[in-house]
Amino acid sequence: MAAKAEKKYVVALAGNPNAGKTTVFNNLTGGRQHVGNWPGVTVEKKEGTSRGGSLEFALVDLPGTYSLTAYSLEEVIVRDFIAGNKPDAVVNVVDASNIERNLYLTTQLLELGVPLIVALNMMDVAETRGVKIDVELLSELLGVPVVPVVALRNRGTDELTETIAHALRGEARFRGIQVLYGREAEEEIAKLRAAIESDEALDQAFLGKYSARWLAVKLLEEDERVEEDLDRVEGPDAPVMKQLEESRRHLFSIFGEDIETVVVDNRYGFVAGIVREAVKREREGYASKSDRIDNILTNRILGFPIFAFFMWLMFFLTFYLGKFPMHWIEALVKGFSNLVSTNITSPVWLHSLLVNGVIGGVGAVLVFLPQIFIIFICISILEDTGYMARAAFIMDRIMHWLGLHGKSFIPLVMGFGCNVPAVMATRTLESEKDRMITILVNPLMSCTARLPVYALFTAAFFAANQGTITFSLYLMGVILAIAMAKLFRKTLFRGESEPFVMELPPYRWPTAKGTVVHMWERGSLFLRKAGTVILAGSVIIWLLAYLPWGVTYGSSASIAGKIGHFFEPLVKPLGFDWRAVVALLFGFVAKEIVVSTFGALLGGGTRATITTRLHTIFTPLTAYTFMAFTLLYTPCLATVAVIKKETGSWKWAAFAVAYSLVLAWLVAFLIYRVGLLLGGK
Amino acid sequence: MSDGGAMPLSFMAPGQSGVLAEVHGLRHHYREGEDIEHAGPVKTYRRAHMYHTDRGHRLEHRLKHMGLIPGARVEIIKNSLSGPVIVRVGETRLGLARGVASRIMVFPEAGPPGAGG
Repeated sequence: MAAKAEKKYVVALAGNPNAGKTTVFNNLTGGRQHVGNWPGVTVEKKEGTSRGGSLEFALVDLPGTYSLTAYSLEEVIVRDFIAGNKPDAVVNVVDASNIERNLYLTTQLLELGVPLIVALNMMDVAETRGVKIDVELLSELLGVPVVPVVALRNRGTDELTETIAHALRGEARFRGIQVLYGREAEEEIAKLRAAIESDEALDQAFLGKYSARWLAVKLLEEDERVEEDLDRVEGPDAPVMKQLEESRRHLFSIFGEDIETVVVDNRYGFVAGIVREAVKREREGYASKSDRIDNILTNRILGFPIFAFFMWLMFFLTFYLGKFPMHWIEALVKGFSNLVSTNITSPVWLHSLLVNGVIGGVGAVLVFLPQIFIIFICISILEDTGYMARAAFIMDRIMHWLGLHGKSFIPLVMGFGCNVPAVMATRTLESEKDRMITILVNPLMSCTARLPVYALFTAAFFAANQGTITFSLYLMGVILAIAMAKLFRKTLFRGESEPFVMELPPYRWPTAKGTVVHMWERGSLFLRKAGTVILAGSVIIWLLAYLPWGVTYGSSASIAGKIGHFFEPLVKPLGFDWRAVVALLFGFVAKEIVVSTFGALLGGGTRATITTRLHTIFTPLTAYTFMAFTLLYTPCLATVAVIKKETGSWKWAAFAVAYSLVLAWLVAFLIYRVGLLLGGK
Repeated sequence: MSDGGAMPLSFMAPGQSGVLAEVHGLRHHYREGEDIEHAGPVKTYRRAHMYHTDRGHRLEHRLKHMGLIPGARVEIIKNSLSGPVIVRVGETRLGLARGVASRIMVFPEAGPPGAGG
């Protein structure tokens, strides 16, 4: 495409959680997207491009929020992006079947004064519920274009892109409608506005990002972020501060409650007025299909067994179904290895690098992709159907007893997939303490990267009851996570966990496309990891095992051998030798590398040869001890990085590494010693 | 304070509906005598923030932004005498911990009153 050097338009997508924002995004961009993070934080940021007529524009998917306060990071991201980056238009995805609650956010987007387009999603659901919406009138009342769409069926997408193009060309109408907060509050807002406008320091600090009216309202609302900004810029005696104090006191004397409540009430009042005009309901209190399903799925007696069944099903599918494609990939890797082996024989080092290093390392990990993808498909389906929220609901009491929150449950389940997105998913927890505990124990949930280790060792030492042994490790992780959560709650993060308040979205059939896109977003991280970190790790390990020149590959004379020997005394009490040290050391980069390291150190080749050679350095007892150690010791590099980002300090990242190392050593020591006492070998 | 027939949401039976009266015991802000300190200049803002981020206030705030405001119509979808409650507000279904539900006072509208608790 020969793109003309025109202005690059940016359109942002905002809306409530569960309003169908992601589906609208996929419709507009055709599923092509770039997933990254918001600068400085790890809230997911999705970008893509779309076009309306001849106009191409970048589309940015903002996090789903109910409001634009400073109470949660997502909300701050949304308003900072809209105010700071000044997108050329904002598309507000509104769930038509739940219009009041959704329009609450709309009023706040209107207040930010951006060109807004309302995409009225789920019109079909609204209709079946007997909700009739006069789209024309709604558009008139809100003063912005309103486009009805059914995102799941990709209906209305063309009209939406057309409207966006109109808006970008400046042809759409925006009447700049404001919520009014009542005479008394408006008087104070006017005074504050005047004080803000006449203050040069403030003008400098906010540089046209926010309007004076918006700042005034936010100050009355006691918005933490705006107050902090103000604190930085202004002295305590500045006229704005004086005015603010006076206004607050005055309004408090009138209303007898904090002004925030007055502001919220007025916004709802504004929404209620619009809904009264533009929305007709044929019947109220509609007992939906969702409620009937909930009667069964969240039932006091049935709820838990059903939930346990779904969890069991997830693991069954992952391990049982995953086996078949695993064999195919294994055969492929082996074939490729043979091909390289026979065709590239000289120079010797290149042959060794390719066969032992690259194919031995990356191949050993690639084999597990099917299982990783299946577990992510399962998690996507659980999320997309709306069941995950019910799982949190069902688990809340148990989680509460464990010192966690119902919502902690979702990140913990995701931890079985990969701890990185799981740690990110802790964002949904409102309380900082709940979040910290959930983050810190998350690495104890056995992620799919640890699976290759179990698979290799159980096949080699416990061929008869592979499943049971693997299960025992998962269980060990869960039990220790619970124990550590309780411990952390009693020591580091004292206090009650936040009470449970969560929206339960209506049940929906997941669409194949949506599920695949979700799975791909997360699962492809592994593919990328295999191509980058693991490839690099494999080559480095190969180098360390190959050098100095002339030594036998992976012998104790090699650099790897020397490093291993150096640390050997530390793991001697656990029954490991120096090769285990090397594997664990490199496993810090990514736990799959433990397998590829053995692959490389034991001379690569097929799994059968690795398996037989493993018997020379492990006994069944030390093998189990080693698996337990691998499960528990230090989160992988990517997880450590994400913990640092999420907690905002290296201190907690270091703590996560340190406590898990100590825990791993203690548990491994216990297993090994008790095992020896019981006569194990 | 008289609630004139309002009852905690946690005592209402499934199918029962009502109008939300108020949320009890969550407000830590602007109690008598505290307002002057709260509204004071810069340094005491910081202290106000601590109040702001306390559990009660944040919870109340979250409830509001999810639509649970005085005057809102609510209907009990699920209440099994223990464990969390599901309540409908508009078209939103909210799962609420029992402790939270017991602080939400509602004027019941129809149906048999208080089916247990």
